[in-house]
Amino acid sequence: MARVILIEDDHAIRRLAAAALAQAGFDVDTAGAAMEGLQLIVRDHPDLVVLDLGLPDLDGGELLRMIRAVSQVPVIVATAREDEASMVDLLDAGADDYVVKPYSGEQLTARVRAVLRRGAAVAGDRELAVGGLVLSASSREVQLDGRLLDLSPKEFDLLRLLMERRDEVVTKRELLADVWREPYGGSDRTVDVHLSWLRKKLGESASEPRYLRTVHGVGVKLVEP
Amino acid sequence: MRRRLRLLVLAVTTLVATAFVVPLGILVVRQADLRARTTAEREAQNIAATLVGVLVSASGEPTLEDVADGLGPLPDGVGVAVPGGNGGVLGSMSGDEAVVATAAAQGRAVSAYVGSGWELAFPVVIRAGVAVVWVRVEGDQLKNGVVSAISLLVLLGAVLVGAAQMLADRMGRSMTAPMVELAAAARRFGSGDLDTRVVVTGPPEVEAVSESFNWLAGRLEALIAAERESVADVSHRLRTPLTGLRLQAERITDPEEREAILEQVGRLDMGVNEVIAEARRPSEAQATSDLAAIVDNRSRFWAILAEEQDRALRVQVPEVPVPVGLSQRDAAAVVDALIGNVFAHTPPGTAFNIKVDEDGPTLIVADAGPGWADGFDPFERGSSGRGSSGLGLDIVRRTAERLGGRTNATNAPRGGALIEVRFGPSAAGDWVGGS
Repeated sequence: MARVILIEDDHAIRRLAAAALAQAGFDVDTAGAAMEGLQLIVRDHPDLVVLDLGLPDLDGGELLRMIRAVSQVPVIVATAREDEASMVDLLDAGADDYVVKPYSGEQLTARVRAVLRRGAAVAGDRELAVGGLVLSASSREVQLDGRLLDLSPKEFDLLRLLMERRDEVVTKRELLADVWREPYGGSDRTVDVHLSWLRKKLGESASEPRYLRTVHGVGVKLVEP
Repeated sequence: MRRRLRLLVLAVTTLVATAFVVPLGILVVRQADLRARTTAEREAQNIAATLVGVLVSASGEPTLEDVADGLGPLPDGVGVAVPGGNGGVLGSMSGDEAVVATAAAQGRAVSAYVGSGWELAFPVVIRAGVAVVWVRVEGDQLKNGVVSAISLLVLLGAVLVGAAQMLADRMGRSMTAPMVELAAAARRFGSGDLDTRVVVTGPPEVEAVSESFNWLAGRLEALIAAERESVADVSHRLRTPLTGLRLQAERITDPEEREAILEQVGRLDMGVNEVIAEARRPSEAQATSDLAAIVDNRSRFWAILAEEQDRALRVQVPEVPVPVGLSQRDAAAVVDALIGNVFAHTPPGTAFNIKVDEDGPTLIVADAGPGWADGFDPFERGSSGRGSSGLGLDIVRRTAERLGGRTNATNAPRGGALIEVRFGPSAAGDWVGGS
């Protein structure tokens, strides 16, 4: 069972987010302040840290740098600001991923799972492979039967998520939350049209599917043909 | 101001020119008159002196022939009256009798203006009586050279006035140009171009106004930026309690109640996002994009889904660019929302058309689906959101209204839903219609 430390000063959010993570099967410990969180990380060596940026005793960004000084633990930052500059700063400071408030429990656990999976992939061969489909996360390249595919960033992220969760039906809401980071905004049609493009680039169609299978009324899953 | 300055200079230079030209003209007339009279007088004196010589050398009473021989041929306008029994008149002695008689009677030179000319009678006293030398100067001789001299004077005056007008115009322009520029800058600033500043130039007073304008514009821009930042900041802070609310709502066991509350939270979240986006939106007074190109581009993007769902898609865009006062991103969001709406509200296989009309410009999306139910307004916030947030068309409406345009959702005469979005004020007030 993966150990997750949640550092969040808001009592209600801390309790609810911890409950959501625990419900998803994680072993969760929480801290309400930066120093307390840092002590927990040093003592418990968790598998992942969820860090809120607005802490009372120390700026979350500062804490992130301090964590990086002592540990390589994956960190997901919870932030209220999603502008590009803030994101770049956070990722530069050593964050592995981010969730934008107001996140849902489902979104948070999906992010935690994805980062843990990615961590496992990094430890392993850094590549995802399903049939003739090979995705390299580090070079952001996808090959189909040895041929390089020309994918847009969104198509790449979509394919990566589906490959990470192969044989599992992923709902459009999940895709919107994970790839578009819009759990309640956006439109299912946006997902549909990106899936259509992905199908075309994978050389298949909805009527003659190979890798991408639509499960009507539920979502989509990626399988080995 | 330029006109006033020109009028002022015109009045002043006309006065000055008149003040010089009129006395000079009078002087020229008098000079010409004096010159003609002096010449005539000298001529009369010469003839009189010759006449005295002829008369003195004559033995006895002189005859008219002797005098004529002695004087030789007389010029035009000169006459001599010789007294005595053998006397008579030589030359064109058609002078004024009163003048000649007075000179003869009083024994002194008499001159007078007669008709348009001037006459001089010069008496020569001899034994037989008084001989008179008479000279007439015609009016045109009295005014000899006057016309050309006065013409020259008037011409000089006109040149002076004209040159002063040109100078005044240039000066006026140099004075008013900075003010015209200032007025244009104020209008640009007022219409939302907050970067507008003016070049500080012109007379000191105008320079001072320009400097004040630049200061004011800078101050307003800073205030607006601070205001926007503060709105964005407050909205960011709202996201933390919203997170708590969402997580709490997810724990509600009744699925119906949970979904209802989550939907409200989602809407609140979108509201906050929009406030932040609006606050962060740069001044878009200058933003323009080509609606035709964007519709073309977005249609190609959606075409693959249309093909997959067996929908016939017809796109009609003008060959020329259709400028619209939106950023590319906002324009694309509007087009996406309208196309996404067709996919969301019509069954697969339903054909649809997208058309861009240069008038407005207007974007028209029509489908061959079942159309809108009676009294249903898809542009109302939160209207039916099958597979969508329900806010897409609301954003379309607000985007159109921001540009002074409007949206219209109707059922086409031949069936199917028809949405028209006009991105600008309408002169006629009617919809272009069409499908």
